[in-house]
Amino acid sequence: MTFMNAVTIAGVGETDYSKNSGRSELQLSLEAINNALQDAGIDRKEVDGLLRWSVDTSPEATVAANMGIEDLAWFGEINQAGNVGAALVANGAAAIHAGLANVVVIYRGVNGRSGRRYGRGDVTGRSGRGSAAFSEPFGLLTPQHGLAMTARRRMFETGVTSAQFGMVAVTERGHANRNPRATFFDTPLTLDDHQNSRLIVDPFHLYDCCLETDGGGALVLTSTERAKARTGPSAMIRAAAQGGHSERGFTDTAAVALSPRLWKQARLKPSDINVAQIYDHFAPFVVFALEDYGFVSRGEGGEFVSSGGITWQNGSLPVNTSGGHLSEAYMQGMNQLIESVRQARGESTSQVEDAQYSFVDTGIGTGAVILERGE
Amino acid sequence: MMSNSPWVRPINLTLPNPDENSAEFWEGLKQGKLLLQVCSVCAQTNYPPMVMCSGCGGFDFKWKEAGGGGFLYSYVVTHQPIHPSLVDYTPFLTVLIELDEGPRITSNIIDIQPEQAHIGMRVRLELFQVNPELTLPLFIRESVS
Repeated sequence: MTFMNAVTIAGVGETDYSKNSGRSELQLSLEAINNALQDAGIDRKEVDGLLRWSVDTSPEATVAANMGIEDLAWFGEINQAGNVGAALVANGAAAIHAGLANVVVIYRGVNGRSGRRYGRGDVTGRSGRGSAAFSEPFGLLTPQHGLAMTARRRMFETGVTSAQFGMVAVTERGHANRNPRATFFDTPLTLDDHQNSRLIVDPFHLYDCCLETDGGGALVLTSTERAKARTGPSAMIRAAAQGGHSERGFTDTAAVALSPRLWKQARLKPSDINVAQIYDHFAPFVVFALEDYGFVSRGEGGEFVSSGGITWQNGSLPVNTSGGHLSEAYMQGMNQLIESVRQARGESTSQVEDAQYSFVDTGIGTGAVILERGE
Repeated sequence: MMSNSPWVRPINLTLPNPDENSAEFWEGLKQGKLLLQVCSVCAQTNYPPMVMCSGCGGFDFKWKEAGGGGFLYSYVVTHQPIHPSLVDYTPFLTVLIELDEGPRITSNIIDIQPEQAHIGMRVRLELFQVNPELTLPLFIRESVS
């Protein structure tokens, strides 16, 4: 019924991350796809499934034409925003598991800094239509505004502080300083830097906010049997689940509803996980995810982060080991999915020793994947 | 303490685009009433108005005028004008008010400075006429009697 390691992320690929790629978003995707297929040891003619973020600008048919795919047997996209990467993995794995496709490529190419910038309301503004009639006229204009409203209330309810959010940013920067691909590889960050940085939307300081990045990334999914073309440790999909709407409390993320399904499917518990990548569009949501997935109890996330719990080498659950969206690149979850594969394979620049179970959430409850190392 | 200057609504800030489901709500504001949608069958109260009652699946609703009281449930302050309409209007306070009837409503408190906002403070409805065709439900501090 569920995947239980029947499907593997057989290849990962990315481009350079920059502020000005100088190429089209389509080209960024295609470069990343080529790199991922090379990594998997699979010819592009074998690809018969394509999946993308609905916010991605490169349609499946265009990508298929550029790749020379002869029979695109399965394709799709998931709507919402940047937060659907793990949900795409769940869907791609389901298609393979059901026999609808043999090799599914998930791609993302975006000029998020030199092109349309996600931090600007004109990207997402709905001109006061539908439910936006009840939010935008009062100044809730971007995703950041709504998330800040949640974060403010959750600070009130659990006592978590801005300085504890700051330690998420500081910890991730430390990981980025070990990762030559990271945007902030050369630049350290202190808690004072975070606390003294300007407010963007209070309670978010500048260093609570993700980067804006140009780049491309891709994943190749296939059956664990077919994935054996690539030798060495592999990243098998132990479990993958999707979440969307849930009628929970105002400050509960969708992870509260998703996580019981995920842990049941995986037949694991949070303490079994060795390393985690968690969607960090804004640093506070790493704390909230740690709580809502059950890695720590509600209200304990801030202290867990401040005491080094998510720090590579010494922490009990190293988080965002490539630097994450705050310090590596903001690829809407794609770079975190890639890093989760690296951890399962033993290839990270901040490798967690003997990492058997690698967890990735790409949207605080919209989707999560647990990878298991295969030999 | 009164604020130093009267609240000014950002001139280019998005205006609501009423649709068939919310037209009566906006008309109510023009008539001076904040209307809450109440399910005719199960009496669930909704804000914003919904198409189908999530409580019982019904499509028949009545309108009930809100009393106008509530408290500050959460808030954000835009410091960097990440949307062009807020340039020259920062810091800008946006609040979430929990009405005494239960629903929460996104709005503005127009008689305080952003730094005076604190969760739990009591507020009262203050209708704000943007133009003859549009009135918005905004809030002021509840005066202590």
